[in-house]
Amino acid sequence: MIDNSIIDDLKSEINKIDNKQDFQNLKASYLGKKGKVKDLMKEISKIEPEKRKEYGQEVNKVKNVIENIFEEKMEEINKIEKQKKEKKNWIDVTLPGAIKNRGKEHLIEKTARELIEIFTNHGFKQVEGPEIEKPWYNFDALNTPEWHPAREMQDTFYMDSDIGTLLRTHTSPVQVRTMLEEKPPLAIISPGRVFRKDEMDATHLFAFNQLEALYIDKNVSVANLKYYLESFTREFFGSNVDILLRPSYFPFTEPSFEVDLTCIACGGKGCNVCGNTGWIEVLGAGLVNPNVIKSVGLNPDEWQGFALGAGIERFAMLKYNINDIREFVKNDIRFID
Amino acid sequence: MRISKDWISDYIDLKIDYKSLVKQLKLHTADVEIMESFGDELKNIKVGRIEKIKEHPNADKLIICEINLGSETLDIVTGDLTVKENDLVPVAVDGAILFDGFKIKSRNFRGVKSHGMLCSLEEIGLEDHSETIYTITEDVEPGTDFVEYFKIKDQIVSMDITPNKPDLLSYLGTAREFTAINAAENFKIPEHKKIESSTDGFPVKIEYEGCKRYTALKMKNIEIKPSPLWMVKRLAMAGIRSINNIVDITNYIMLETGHPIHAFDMKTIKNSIIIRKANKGEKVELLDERELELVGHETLITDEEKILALGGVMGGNISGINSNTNEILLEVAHFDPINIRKTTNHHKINTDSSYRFERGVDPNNAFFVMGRLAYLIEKYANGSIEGKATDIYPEEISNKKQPLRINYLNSKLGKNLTIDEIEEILTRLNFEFERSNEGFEITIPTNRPDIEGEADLVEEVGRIYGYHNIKSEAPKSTFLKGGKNDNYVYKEKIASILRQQGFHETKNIPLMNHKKFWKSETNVKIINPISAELEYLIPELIYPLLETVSYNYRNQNKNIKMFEINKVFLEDKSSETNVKEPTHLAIVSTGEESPADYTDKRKVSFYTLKGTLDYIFEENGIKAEYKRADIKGFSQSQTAEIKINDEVIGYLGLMDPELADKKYDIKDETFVAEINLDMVKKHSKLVSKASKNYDYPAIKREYSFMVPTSTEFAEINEIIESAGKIIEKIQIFDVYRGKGIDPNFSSITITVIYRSNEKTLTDEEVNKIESKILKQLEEKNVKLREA
Repeated sequence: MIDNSIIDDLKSEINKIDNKQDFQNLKASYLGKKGKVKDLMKEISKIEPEKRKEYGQEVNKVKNVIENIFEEKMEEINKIEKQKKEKKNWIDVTLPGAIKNRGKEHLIEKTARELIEIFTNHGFKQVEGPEIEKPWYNFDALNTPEWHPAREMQDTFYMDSDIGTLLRTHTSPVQVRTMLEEKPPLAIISPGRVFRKDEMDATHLFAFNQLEALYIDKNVSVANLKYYLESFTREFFGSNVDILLRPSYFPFTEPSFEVDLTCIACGGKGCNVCGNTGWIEVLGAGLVNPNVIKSVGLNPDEWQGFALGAGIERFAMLKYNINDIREFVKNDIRFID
Repeated sequence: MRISKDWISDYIDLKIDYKSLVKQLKLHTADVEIMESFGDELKNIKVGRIEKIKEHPNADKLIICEINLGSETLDIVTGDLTVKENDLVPVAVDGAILFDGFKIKSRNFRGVKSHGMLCSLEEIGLEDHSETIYTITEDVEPGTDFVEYFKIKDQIVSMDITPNKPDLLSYLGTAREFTAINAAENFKIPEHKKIESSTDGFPVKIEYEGCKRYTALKMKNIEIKPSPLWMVKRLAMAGIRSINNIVDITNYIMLETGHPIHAFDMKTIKNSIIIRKANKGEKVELLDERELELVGHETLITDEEKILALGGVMGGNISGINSNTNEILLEVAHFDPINIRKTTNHHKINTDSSYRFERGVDPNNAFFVMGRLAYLIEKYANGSIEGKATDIYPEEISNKKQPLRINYLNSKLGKNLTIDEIEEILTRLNFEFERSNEGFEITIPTNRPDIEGEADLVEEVGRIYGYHNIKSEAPKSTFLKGGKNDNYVYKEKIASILRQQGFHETKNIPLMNHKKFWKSETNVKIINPISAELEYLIPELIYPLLETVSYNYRNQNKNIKMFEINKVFLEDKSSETNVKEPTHLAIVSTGEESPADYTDKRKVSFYTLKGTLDYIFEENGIKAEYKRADIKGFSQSQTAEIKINDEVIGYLGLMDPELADKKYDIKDETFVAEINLDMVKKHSKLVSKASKNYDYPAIKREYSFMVPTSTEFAEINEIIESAGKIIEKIQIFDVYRGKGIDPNFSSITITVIYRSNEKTLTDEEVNKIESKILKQLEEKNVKLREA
């Protein structure tokens, strides 16, 4: 009774549809209030009454088929629309990310941070002091009276000839100040900038950084000093390094040592860096000279201690494999980045 | 001091080779700076006798020498016309190799074949520069191997001798040390004459305590001539050039004994020796022809009318030994170390003699040293002692006693050495000692002035035992709580914020020329700078930081964001050092704000840098105020000073483009800030965001104002903020100047958030406050923009 051509027409028409708008228009022309299916429904009045039920059922069947076709097409259209959107939003995922500028740590600060962390974890307290000092704190209190040959060992910048103020040649004056203020036992570190009148070259700066540690208690021995030296160098450079104490001289310690470390470059086998000895000199240390204990008003028979002093630049050069100390004050972005 | 193996073997028998010695010295004595061999290259150099000198047929300035080499006689051409027949000379024969590696071959000199070369000391490596062919003074058979016979080849070791080891500034002290560290045995004292003193010897008077002892001995019949080659060679190993036998012997004995010696020509001394204090302004001309103006503390060796020497430092230029000398006065004296140091320090003079006296010379070996001198002078200069020695020694310096407690020693070393072990070490160190209840009573010899206390003995025993033999041990001690310093933690916090904001952390040298301090007046000066470029300490961090920025800019890095946190130095008479050292923060930015981000092409601006500073302030609970300011070197349009609680703590601004270009070669807009971090820290509060109340809903309203350019946002902000308690926040949404609006105005769009922490606000309540705000703003000619 119903001509199936309406479905065939729809099928051919719908094939051409590729967007939502056309789809909606086509859908309306079939299923809308004035659509073709409605028209078919209207035809019912022309049908003989006894066949109307059957006709109605057939129209509903056709309507269902048409609705199914549209539903299927709807899915297809949605897919197409989504693909279009994706295509529009398509990006090159391999282009680099939009990174915010990253400010870099200065290597000396970074090295100091690592060392300070290690020592404070070992129970050392960080102290600070002035960079311009009176000679008493920088020399006299440290068993280096005027005219002591050791005053020459550290060529000093002087600020004022009347009171003899100077740029501290080591951070030890901070230790003196702390010992005068606080009662022992004491474990302190004094990282900071120091000055020596050296010509600048690949291994010397006239302003550089030190970290000194001081430990004062009733019983402090060379064996204890070795314990801390081993612990902190291993924590800083790695667990496979050893230390070697060699006799040396500093007025403020007695005995005094140069501390050698297993060569970082060759692991102790011997190379250019260590002059084939397997060892590199990394810092100075010693037991606090009784004269220093006395000069801060303590009894050297009661209190003993050790002190060590490391050059932060030296440690940074060794750990980060830097050959020229001047890089640290150049702040060249090509180096920093 | 360079120690020759050949020389030191006079006093000891080495038990180990020089290479192993280096290792032992490093472990037990001092660092070894040099370990080298000498003369390894030398080959085929023989002793030859000049039998006959013939003229060169084709050259006036050359001669032909017929050289007897024992088994053969060869013709050798030389340009040294001073050689004589019968001279014994070193001859480099065909195939010989000289000190510098040069190979000798027979060759023609203007038509005459020369079968080798006559050598000077330069070619053998014993002199830096020689004038003539060397004449051998010893009686040696022609043909003898020169290098082997005179023991030219040698090995040298040189230690880094610290001020506490004056005994190592001599061969004898070093030889003793080698035995102490078990590297040698059989220590022997070299031959010397016995010296006696009397009161009727040459007259000497000490009038000044700069001199502690003066021993003088007269020797006559001196024959000045070249030294024997072994001595020339040994001095050369020490870097000392041979002059003549007397001068060489005094140098040789100084190196051997560590005791500086002076020899005066008797002819130049008038009647007696007087040791006196210098007068201020007095002048002395030294052996090296330098003239010094004396300050008054120097010790002078004089006679009755003139200065003969600057005691312990250097001889005067009139009293020295020369080829006509035939009578000498030998001086073995002891000078006060501090007195010598003052002199050398003031006059910037340093000699082998002063170096030793400053560190401490044994005052009690004077007769031995004199006896050694007399022995060598008799032997090598035909001299003879006249009369007895004069010995003026006002106050005898005697050996000190120092106890060493075993418990003290072991507690310091962290080791349990037995009495026997300690005894053995003390014996090796050549110390005399007695046992006592607690340990030992040790006699400290006067050649070890460095040993002043028990701790010094701990060092002596410790180093000989070997610190590498002590095992590490954790201290059994009081619990100590570690921690970082407050200031440091604060600096770290600021640095970390700045790095997050894209600024590189820098460290710069704080010494500069003050002419570079273009906006500061006060500055702290160094009185002994390395150079004028490094004469002043910086009063602000921007100076070196801008140099760094400039350096990078010139190296094609035009996008720069950097900071430094460090001390600056300012005069302050109230400080104990007359200088205060506040910690500052300086920031410089130029170029792109975020060059690493290709999606963000913004340039740095006043506001980007201000945003960074505000972030810092906010993180520290600080409300900072920015006030337009006129700062030297900065643009007037974009510069502000920063205040916290009415205290100026720094500034922020655009550098004057002309100045940036002229001084730093920077051609882009450069924004700079420098603030006093100590002051910021002082105003900092703990920020706790959790305390904010948001129980009741907020009402948000947006306003677009037309603001006259003469009105600052701070004024608008102030009016809104003070309008009522319900103002929670004022946010800038947009600021616009330019096309479409009156050039005397900016359009500023802001959002105001109203909230009460007591109840839900009604529109009426907000309207009431809002109209109050708008009315007040209108009075300032700030009006809502018409839509």
